[in-house]
Amino acid sequence: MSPPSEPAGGAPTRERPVHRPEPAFRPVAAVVLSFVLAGGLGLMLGSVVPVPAFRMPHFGSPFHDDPFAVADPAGGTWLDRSEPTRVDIGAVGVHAPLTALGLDYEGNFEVPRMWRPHEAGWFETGPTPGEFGPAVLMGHVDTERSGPAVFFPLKEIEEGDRIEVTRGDGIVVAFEVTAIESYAKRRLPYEEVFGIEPQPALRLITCGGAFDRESGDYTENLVVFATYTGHRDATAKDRARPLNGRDHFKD
Amino acid sequence: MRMTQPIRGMLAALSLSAALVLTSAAPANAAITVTLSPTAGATGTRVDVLAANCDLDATGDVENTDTSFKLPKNNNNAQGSFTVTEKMKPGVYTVTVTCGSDTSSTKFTVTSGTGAATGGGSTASEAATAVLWTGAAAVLIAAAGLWLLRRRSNVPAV
Repeated sequence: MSPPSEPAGGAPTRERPVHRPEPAFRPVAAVVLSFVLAGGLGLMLGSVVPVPAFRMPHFGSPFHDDPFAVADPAGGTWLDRSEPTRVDIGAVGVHAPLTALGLDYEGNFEVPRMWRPHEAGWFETGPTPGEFGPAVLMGHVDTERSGPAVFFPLKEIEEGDRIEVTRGDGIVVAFEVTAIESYAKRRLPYEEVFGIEPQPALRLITCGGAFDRESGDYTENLVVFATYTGHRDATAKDRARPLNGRDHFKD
Repeated sequence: MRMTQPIRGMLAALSLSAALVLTSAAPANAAITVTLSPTAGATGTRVDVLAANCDLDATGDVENTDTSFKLPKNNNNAQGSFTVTEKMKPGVYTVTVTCGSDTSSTKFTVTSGTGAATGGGSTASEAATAVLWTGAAAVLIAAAGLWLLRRRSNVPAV
């Protein structure tokens, strides 16, 4: 009997292949190694080609949404303008002084100085915390040398956490975190970050995503959205709270 | 002179209602306040403007530009909008709303449209490089294994 692989009408003089008994190990190992090879190639490819972040498409209303339909700037007893001096987030251990920020000469947001990693800033031309509208605070996630900086702990912040901002007039305004979002820097949604809410709002901005060595900047902004929950006059205990100084970030 | 009880009660009610009328009328005379949404944006951003406590058709102007806009009155407020044009270079602009004889202003910031550069990179992990090396190691091991498993066709069958 000729083996089925033998072509029909093969020359009988041709030497038949000797059947070598083969352990099942060899094909199984070959399959496994092929998977490892494919996986390794996939890892290499994935680390070189940036994987786009998946985001659900946003279906906006065909009519322009009227932000004032749900928010009435005169509809509450909001605070008057007063510059914020410090921000405290007990849940993640942020106790930072605030500096005023504007724009740099290119029209980009000014940020606190790299050599002052303990300092956060507030966007001076916008509303102040407790005024109607969005107050925006910005802080570094890290600096070039110090390692973690003032807003590094924002990675661990959670919805419902309490943020307190002390203002120059001695009022402590309390906010509650409602959302934490990451946006590509080129697509920062100003309507959401700098838009109004029914109540005074607070946004904390720092960096996230991957670090691009060529441009020397992170690719994403982490934005913490918080909304007003109340205010009180600063007590002696509030005033005695220590700030995290520059030494806090030396490690 | 001693007033009778009903008259005192009436006087009290009158003064109370007068006080109520005064307090409820106060918002109409309150200073108009201008609110923007959003408060910052790049070219092309549509900015909604609300002048609260303005019961007239109002007009708005963006300082140092030829942008002006109308704010039709709407339920004790005047509301309108403008769009940031290409002529508006990044910077801070004062938006002034004129409501009758009153004016009120607030600030709008035109930015380049990007996010904030809030990091120096000292804590950035080299995650991509680590993944690359892991993948390379896996490929190397797999290739070596397959090479060893290869049927040695050049070995003559005995």
